[in-house]
Amino acid sequence: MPFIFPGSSEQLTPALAPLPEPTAEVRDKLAALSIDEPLPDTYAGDRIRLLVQSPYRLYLYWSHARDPFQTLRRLFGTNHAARYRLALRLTDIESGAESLFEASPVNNFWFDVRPDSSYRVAVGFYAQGRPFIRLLISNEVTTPRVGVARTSDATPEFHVAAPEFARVLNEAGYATDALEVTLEAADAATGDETTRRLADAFIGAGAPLLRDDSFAEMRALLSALAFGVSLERLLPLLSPALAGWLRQAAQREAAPPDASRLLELLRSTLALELEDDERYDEATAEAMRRAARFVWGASDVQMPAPGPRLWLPSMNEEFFKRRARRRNI
Amino acid sequence: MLDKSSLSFPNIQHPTSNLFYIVPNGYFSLILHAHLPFVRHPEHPEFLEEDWLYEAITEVYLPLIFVFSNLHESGARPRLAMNVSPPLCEMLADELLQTRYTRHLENLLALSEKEIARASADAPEFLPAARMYRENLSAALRLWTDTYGRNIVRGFRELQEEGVLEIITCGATHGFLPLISTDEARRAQVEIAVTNYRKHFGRQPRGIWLPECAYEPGIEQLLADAGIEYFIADSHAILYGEPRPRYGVFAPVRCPNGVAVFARDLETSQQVWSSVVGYPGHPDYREFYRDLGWDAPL
Repeated sequence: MPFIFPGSSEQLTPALAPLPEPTAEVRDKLAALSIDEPLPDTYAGDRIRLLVQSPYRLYLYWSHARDPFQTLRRLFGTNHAARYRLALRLTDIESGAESLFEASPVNNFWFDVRPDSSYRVAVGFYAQGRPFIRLLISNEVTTPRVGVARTSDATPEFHVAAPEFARVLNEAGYATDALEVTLEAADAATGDETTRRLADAFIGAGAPLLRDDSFAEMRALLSALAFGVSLERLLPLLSPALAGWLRQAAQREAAPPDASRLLELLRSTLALELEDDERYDEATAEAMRRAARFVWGASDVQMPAPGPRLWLPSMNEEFFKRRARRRNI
Repeated sequence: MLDKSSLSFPNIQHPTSNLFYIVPNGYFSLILHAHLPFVRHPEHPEFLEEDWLYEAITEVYLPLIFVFSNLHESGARPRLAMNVSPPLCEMLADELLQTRYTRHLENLLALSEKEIARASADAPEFLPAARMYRENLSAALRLWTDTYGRNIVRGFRELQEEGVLEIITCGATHGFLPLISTDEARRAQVEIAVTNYRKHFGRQPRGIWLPECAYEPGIEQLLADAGIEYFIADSHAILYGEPRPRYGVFAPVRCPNGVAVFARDLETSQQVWSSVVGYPGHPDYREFYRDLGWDAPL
């Protein structure tokens, strides 16, 4: 005997629960909806789209209306056409620098790029010593700046000094950014110089001459190291000059640069502490993927675990005086 | 005794009297995001993904409306904002899904009756839990059928009209705006959402929860064109703004075109969302995917 729930508005048995038969019109429409219909390999059109995934990653997908190799063979002949390969040409719009990649047979590709830069990609045929034959050209995209802005509002109501902003970042859970801003602001007049001194002390004298745009990279490197990201993991992600120099420094030193030594330096230079001195477990390391901007392909969609908090002393003159007094005692 | 000097926020004397005002350091804005993908499969008598909607109605939307209504009736002013996304509004207002949900709820209630009978005989340790489910499900069914007449969008609308709740919208299909290829398609996401909001709530939405909180420069103009005054974005949309935002995520900012932005607070969001530190990932929290039909002895 099937169970009928007392007072059921449907008067249906839970075990059977049939729905009314659809009308003929609805049935026809439903029949047209095949759940097994396969997706086509191509939508029979020339299409190319370049998307920004993060400050360091671009994603490209494309399709051809016709097999481009068929066209090539028809135009150049089979022997000549065989010398060409389908390639992707990534162009940095500002510098004009171009990089060539072999096109993936699945018609999509990930590029490693630099933040705050504009790019375009062309799909075409490439053969050594011959001009690139362009087939498709993508839209232009600009990767976002990585990290916080360098400028503060000029109006007194909204102006924020770097130490204060570092504190706001830390409270918001962006501790690595807070550390970067602290490095930048440790000495308001010479933030870059502080970064250089820290880098020299940490990695050894003879660091490559830092340009304006590479101070930010060095600060981000120091932040990432301080937050427990390993040097091995960071090396492939750095600019060639900094990575090469770090490799040489690591070979010279008996012990490779590590986070605990960097933390000691941060303590002595900036009187800055991490609230939790323990090294980070997997969950926290995962959290670092959000803020440690060197980890390419990081996605903010994955919510991070709470990162460690910085203890950020106020970097005003009074603080340094008090600190000096304590040391004298 | 409360000592005024111990308060962490400043006291300000009224300019023309001896009264003091306690000025709070800030305000807490609780904004809830309610969205589900559009899942409606008339071609099948039952469809697993439709259960997402049914679970959410039973476990989230009905209890929320119930709590909001109680707060309102008790004279409290909860002052909450909630996004009810267009796909969710359409599903909640759909007659077929309303009928199916009623059946789903009745089936659950029938199951709870059976479980009470089983637990009474064989597993008394589960009897309180089975009774709790029967009580909750009975209450849910009463709310669903008697109080809201199977239409909880109307329940949300009434709460908004009574000033309890501010309802905001979302993308038309929750499309990730920065990656939508054409301006027309982005615009459609926003404008259709506004039209859908008007259909269900009878007024212009003031705010929007950006799908996945994803912002890129330029989106604020689409919102302004659709008459939207503010949006919710992820933390770094404000923290990485230029110039540096003085109060970080702890205050809204205005885009140059006047549309305001409220950013999510990371730590609060983690409590809800993170599988690592949030309460849904805690072993003591309920596991939604346990199945009595699987767990119970044959």
